[in-house]
Amino acid sequence: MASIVASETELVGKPSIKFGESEKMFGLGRRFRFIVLTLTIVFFLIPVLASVRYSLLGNHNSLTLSAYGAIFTDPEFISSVLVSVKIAVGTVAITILLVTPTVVWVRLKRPDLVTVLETISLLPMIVPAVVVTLGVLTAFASLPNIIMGSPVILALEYVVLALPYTFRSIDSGAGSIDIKTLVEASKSLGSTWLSTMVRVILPNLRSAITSAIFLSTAFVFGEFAVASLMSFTTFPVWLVQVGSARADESVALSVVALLLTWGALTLISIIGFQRQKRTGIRRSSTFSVSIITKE
Amino acid sequence: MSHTAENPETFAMPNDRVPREWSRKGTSVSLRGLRRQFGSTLALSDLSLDISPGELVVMLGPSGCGKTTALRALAGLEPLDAGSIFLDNRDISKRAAHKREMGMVFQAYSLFPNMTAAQNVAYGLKLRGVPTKTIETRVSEMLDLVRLPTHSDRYANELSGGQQQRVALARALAISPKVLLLDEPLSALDAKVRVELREEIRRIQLEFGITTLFVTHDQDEALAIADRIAVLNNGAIEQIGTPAQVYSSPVNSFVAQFVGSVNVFTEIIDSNNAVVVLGQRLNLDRWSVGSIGSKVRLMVRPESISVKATEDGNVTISAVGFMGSSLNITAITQAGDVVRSNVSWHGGSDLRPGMSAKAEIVGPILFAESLSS
Repeated sequence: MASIVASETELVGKPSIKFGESEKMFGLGRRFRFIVLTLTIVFFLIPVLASVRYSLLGNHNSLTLSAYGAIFTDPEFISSVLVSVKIAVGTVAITILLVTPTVVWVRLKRPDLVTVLETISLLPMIVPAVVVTLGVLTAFASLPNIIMGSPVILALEYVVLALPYTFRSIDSGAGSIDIKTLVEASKSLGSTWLSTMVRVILPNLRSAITSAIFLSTAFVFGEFAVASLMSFTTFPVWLVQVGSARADESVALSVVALLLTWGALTLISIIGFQRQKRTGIRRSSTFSVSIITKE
Repeated sequence: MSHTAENPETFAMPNDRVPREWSRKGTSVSLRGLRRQFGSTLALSDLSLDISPGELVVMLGPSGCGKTTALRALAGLEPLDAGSIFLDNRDISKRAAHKREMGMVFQAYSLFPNMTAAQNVAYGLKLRGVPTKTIETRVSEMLDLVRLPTHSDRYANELSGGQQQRVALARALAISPKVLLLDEPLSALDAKVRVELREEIRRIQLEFGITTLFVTHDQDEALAIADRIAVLNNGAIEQIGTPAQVYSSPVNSFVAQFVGSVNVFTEIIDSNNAVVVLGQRLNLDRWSVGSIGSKVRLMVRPESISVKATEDGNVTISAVGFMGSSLNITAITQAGDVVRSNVSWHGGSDLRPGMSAKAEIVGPILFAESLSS
């Protein structure tokens, strides 16, 4: 869905119109845009519709919900979702507690370091995930077994791997408000640091932080390679396992996962938009959201 | 470092203000030897300033002169390398910003975007644990004061620039601060709103009798609202005095040229300790600026030069700028020097570019300095 929006924006952003022929070319441009848009929608919708159809298909082309019934009654489903939820909560908590104060501090005290942080945040995209995984494992090797042997270590991995999305989301939110002036205004009115953070900064970063939460969660619920490598049966790992044994259930699961993600993204857009309408606080994450859905 | 004007020759100013007896409600502020260095730049160089209770002092200077640094140091937002700050003779140099009890209005965009106008004004009161009923009353009083009683539910982005600054002023005053600090609060606004709001600020400041430090680079703003103006340059005060003193009796050429505009003439002193400017002999007895034959630089305000159209004049008019109530005349002397004059619209309505005219110095010499070291 987000990819469709991105394509449209790109076409609007780079119109191939020459001066003097604008009227004629504009008509052609619109038609061209319509064709591309239709093709894109078809390209993305066909697999989804095919999946939905396949997941509902019973014997002799009858329609049945048995695949959905089977997955929801599978005890492995519950336990894998639970593991992923725990990891997601951990990832979100660490990310928010780590990234938000860092972004605020850098924007406030060392704005010259913003570009450096941006570059660092992109490293997990450049460095292969396996290398990052091993790096994190080595770095935390001295931690007790309760962390190294539990999903906590996976949360630590995901904090790093999801950084390109979470950092950008929070940083663009922070960049859209004048943090320095707001902090100084708050201090001059008698507020302490903590109070300024809670009453002024966090509320103004709310939509950015909400985006980061959704992005981290979506990342956790979509990541297979690292979880599988570290032998944790998270939701995506279980999904692959089911897929290799029971194809219809696997497809039904994919449909459920897709609907959940879309639902979450729609929710975040609605929340962000309603807020933006009155306070004018720029929602920061449309671009970041489009990245994750492409994954 | 501060100087008071010693020049006795002040020509009559219609809006000359004599410092009034300051309201006793206010707090006295004293800045002593403030020093602040950023890398190799000295932002504040032993700056000292005393503000009487209830007085409005404007710090005026070019950008980078240290005026904002001084104000921020007073607010506790900028650390000092040396110096002390006293409030009613109590040293507050080490006190954290949130404990200084100062209301501050910033250049722009300082309203909390997540709060309505009323919530912004209530913010400081809530932090002080004021009862909700009292907060409500105070907030509506403050919004009335800044003439925005019907805007309490608006968010910052639903208010115009001028309205935002009014709310910021109400928010700063709501906490009954000891000192009001205004950091170029009007610079982001358009000309008409700027004039309206500066008058509002002055009205409210007088009503509250609150000691106020106002920072600006706009001389018109400074001259219009200040009780006293401190002209800053390179981190130090060049002159402090009433607007009339600073305008009509500058203590050095920087102040003369920065506050208002001037004509600069470079001449040689003749045997009678006088110089000839625009064909007029001007006596320099009052200025000890050098001996016979030495070079001297004279400064004269445009309004001290009259220009009248005449056949055999000493200048040729090159431009006539219509300013509404007056005309800005630019003329060229036979020697090629530029002379600027400001005449009343009625007095100069017959002047056109290309005309010959007689330029005459009718006011005092604003400042004279020796050019030979």
